Amino acid sequence: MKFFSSIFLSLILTLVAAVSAGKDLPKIAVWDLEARNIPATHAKELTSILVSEISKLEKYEVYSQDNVRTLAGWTTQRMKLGCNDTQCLIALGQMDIAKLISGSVGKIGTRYSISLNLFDTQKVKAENAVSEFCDSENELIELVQRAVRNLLGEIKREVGKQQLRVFGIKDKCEVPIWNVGDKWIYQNTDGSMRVEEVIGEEEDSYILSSGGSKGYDKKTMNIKWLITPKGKKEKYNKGNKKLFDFPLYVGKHWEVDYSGYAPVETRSVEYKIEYKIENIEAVSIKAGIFQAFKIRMTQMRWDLGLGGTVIWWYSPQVKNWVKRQTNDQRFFRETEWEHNAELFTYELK
Amino acid sequence: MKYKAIPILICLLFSPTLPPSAYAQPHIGEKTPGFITSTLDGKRIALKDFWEQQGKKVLVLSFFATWCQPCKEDLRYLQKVQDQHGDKGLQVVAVLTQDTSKEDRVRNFMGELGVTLSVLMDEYGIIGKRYAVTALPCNFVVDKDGILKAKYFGYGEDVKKRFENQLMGLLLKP
Repeated sequence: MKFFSSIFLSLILTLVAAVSAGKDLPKIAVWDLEARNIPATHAKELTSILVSEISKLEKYEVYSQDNVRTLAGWTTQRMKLGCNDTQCLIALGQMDIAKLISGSVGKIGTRYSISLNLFDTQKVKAENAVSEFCDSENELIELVQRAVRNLLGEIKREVGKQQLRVFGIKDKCEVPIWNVGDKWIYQNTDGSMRVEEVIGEEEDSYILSSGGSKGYDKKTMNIKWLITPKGKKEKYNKGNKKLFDFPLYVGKHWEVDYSGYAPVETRSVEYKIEYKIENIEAVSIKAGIFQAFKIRMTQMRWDLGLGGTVIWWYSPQVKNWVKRQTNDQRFFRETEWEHNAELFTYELK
Repeated sequence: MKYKAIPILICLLFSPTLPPSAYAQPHIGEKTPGFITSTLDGKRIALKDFWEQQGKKVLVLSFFATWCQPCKEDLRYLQKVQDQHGDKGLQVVAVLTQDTSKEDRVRNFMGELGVTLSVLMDEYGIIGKRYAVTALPCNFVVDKDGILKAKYFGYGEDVKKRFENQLMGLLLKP
């Protein structure tokens, strides 16, 4: 595994070097992430992913720790000392390496952490540092990708671009226009994926496939009908028809009352849902960084006096929601459509 | 068994995990290898600053060591060249390499020679290695666009003549 990991890192660095050879890009060295209370192979893999993420930016020529060791002629013992000291930073500068990233990945209790440091070899000092955390090993890949972009100031820059593009012209969001073939892939917290795709369009509705098929009113995006497991088209009257009440704008408030099926009790019960659009904010998720309307949905069950909150982030750019977060997993445990999830990738035709 | 060879072949094919510019010998006609280092006074400087911040200049990088006898004459000579052509856009920079002398010792050395050229430090020998400096003195001529135009080992009349011809040609170019 370690062997293949090294080959993979070699390939990445070779390709990066080949691509960037003619561009005269600033050079950045990536020191192997230190493993703290996690397997060393994980740290090695995450180092490879970190290198790959930097290369995607096409702003740096990336050097590995091994490159540095060979070029400087340092011993393995010297390399073990790390590269946070002045001597090492000076030596990197003499290799024309402008920046150094070093850090660690670790586990404390049940939580995982990634800490990265960015050094400037010309100033011979630390320039930035970030620490990011997650709850499961499955999230480490995305965490390291996000952390390194954050470290290099890319997230701020991307958010800045998004603000220019979205704010000012889209402070009021009209009902989206979908096209056949538009597709959104969401990832749940357990890593499972769910695909939503516009598979058809009729005069007044879009047909969205997401396990089953539903018809969405083009003017309101309310659910009009569904296709039953037996293939029969039925009017939708068993659940919440209105998720978003377009147009969306900050401060808007709406309510929905509906009778819904309670799976545990196997009967229909009365729900009341209140929505409020709180603000527009940047959301950093696997699919990218988006400006989104933050919509707080509070759902109540009158008969039991119970309730829970789900926050949705809707992005006009994506024409759909990009993130969903519940504050009460117990209340929503039987309704999959209200569990935590975020957009993994999407495609608009 | 036969599959065991595959990773080895992959390694051989892609063994230069090292970005090529890091290891390639500097070739005449190509961009000169960059570096960031300290001056004798401790100021941090990037080679590209000579083009990007100080205006376009023809640069001479002269690698030397305090223990190198021919380097003394070479440095005196380069000081004269700098004095004569500095106003035409020439910048001679001395690079101390393969030498662990402390700053004061180097200052005294330069003072005794009457040389006031800027001195850059290559205390780990990395810059010298990247420029493939295998003998001293060793001088590199870089044009106003950062392209390496000539490399000279040693110090002698023939070398001086060729060096001056090269230099004059570059200084005359806009």
